[in-house]
Amino acid sequence: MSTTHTQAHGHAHEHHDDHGPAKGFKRWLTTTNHKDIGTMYLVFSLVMFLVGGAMALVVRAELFMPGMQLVDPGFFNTMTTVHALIMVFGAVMPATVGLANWMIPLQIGAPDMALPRMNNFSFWLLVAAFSLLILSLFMPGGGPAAGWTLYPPLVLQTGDALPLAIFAIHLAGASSIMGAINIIVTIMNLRAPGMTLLKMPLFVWTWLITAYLLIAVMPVFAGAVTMLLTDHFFGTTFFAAAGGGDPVLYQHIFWFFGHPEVYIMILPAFGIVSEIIPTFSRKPLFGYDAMVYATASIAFLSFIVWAHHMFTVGMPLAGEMFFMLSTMLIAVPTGVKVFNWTATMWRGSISFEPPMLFALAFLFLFTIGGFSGLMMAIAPVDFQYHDTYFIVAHFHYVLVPGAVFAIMAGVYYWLPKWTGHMYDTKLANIHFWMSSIFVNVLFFPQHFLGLAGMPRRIPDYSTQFADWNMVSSIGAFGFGLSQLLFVYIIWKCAKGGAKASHEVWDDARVHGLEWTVPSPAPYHTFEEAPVVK
Amino acid sequence: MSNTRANGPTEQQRRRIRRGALALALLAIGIYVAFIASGVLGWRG
Repeated sequence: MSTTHTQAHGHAHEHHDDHGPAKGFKRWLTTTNHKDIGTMYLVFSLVMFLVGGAMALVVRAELFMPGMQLVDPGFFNTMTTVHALIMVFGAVMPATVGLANWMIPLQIGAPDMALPRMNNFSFWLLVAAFSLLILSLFMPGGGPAAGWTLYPPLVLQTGDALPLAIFAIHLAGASSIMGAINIIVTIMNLRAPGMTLLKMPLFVWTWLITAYLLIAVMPVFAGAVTMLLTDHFFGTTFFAAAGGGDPVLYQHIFWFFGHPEVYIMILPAFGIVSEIIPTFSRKPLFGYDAMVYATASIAFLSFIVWAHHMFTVGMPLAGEMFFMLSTMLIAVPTGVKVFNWTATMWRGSISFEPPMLFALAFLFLFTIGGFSGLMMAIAPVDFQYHDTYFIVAHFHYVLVPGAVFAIMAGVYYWLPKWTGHMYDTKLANIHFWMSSIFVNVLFFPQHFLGLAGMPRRIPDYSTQFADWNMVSSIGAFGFGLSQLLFVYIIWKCAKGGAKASHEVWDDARVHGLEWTVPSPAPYHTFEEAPVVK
Repeated sequence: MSNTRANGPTEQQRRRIRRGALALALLAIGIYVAFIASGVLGWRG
């Protein structure tokens, strides 16, 4: 986006200060403003991040020492299951949707999302979904406890929580699909004059592709859990061998959704990092077109690799070969991205403000997660790693210092634009270093545990695993406490602080339209469309 | 002043937005129904 300049500034409405938002709770309940809805998504995801994080701390507290210490095994399983469901569907996805709501209209020069009422409905549906999911913990028999993958036949042993959890998943899925439709029609129809597809900021591109992924795979997951429901309550046997069904069919359907789901979480993160690295390197993004094509390639490949999650179920050798090689192929477009981010920084005038620090940590630590993924793509080797702590380490490296760090980088990048205040960079730097150190203390030892054979999803373990589990748990509590600092920094910035300029960061104007509007961004922006050269 | 925007898309943009949204919604519902239908056919077979 280095070539973007505007002829008409996007803050036509800044002179209409009387046109502010409605007051009180009704504002938030009925708002159709993309900035309000973006804020609500971000606050919701932060709350869910803390709730899901607390559940992770229950897990890590139990695993601090061998033996059963704090919770019974059933509740432990519920915690691992609901932690994952909340973090995936309630924290990471809504955070990226919140960023999309706030930033896509600002980045493409649109006055709002294309379907603002549906936007409001999508958000409140998500609140209903996660209220139900959390309430399912209090149902007779406890909450869902079969892992976030909800594999039958184990999941069918869940008590009264099963239909509630499945209903919650349907509501969350409907919310995601509506959000995705809104994003696609906004990007396709409301771009400023002159903003061709290949002039869009990378964050917009990654979200456009992510939205198509969502529409393609969320209905598949909804279909799978609907079939679980009919197996449980209506006598069908889709996934029960006794009635002519096949439990492995569920795994195929689930992972046909589940693998693209990983990219639904990581592609917007790629977009955020692609915005930040050029700004703080003071250079245009290296290989913009290649970045777009690499994103599209990753999305396409995500549909043809699903069975690498289930090598051990037993499949024909040709199948194993296909899924092994197609999985390895994903390293090519991902490598293009990592190369281009590095090349962007090459001979740049780099400065290390908090967004850039988080983006750099993302670059290093996500790559570690990517490499361990490549290790597991090797089918015969995966037989050793499968369902061990090695996989737990792998996907947490992809999702925590990967997706979550990119989201934090995005928050630190755009927070002054949202609030109009500069945050406390000294505290943000402390937050960065504490998070970066503790996230490695938390997850790196889990590689050793997995390679030594410690299975995942168990509340007790052999004493040979005691030392690294203790280290990992210390890392977990350190990482959790560090996030309270993040909450404080955001709260403090929202309340006040040094006034932020239009550009916020040096020469940010050349990197996107959002930096041409005042800080905080006026309630209504781009009512007169800017012209992009 | 309500918390809705003052100026929306043009009528032509609105039509394209409605059409696009409807097509995408039908696609999503179609995928959902197709997966369940394929499960039903496989189960009966």
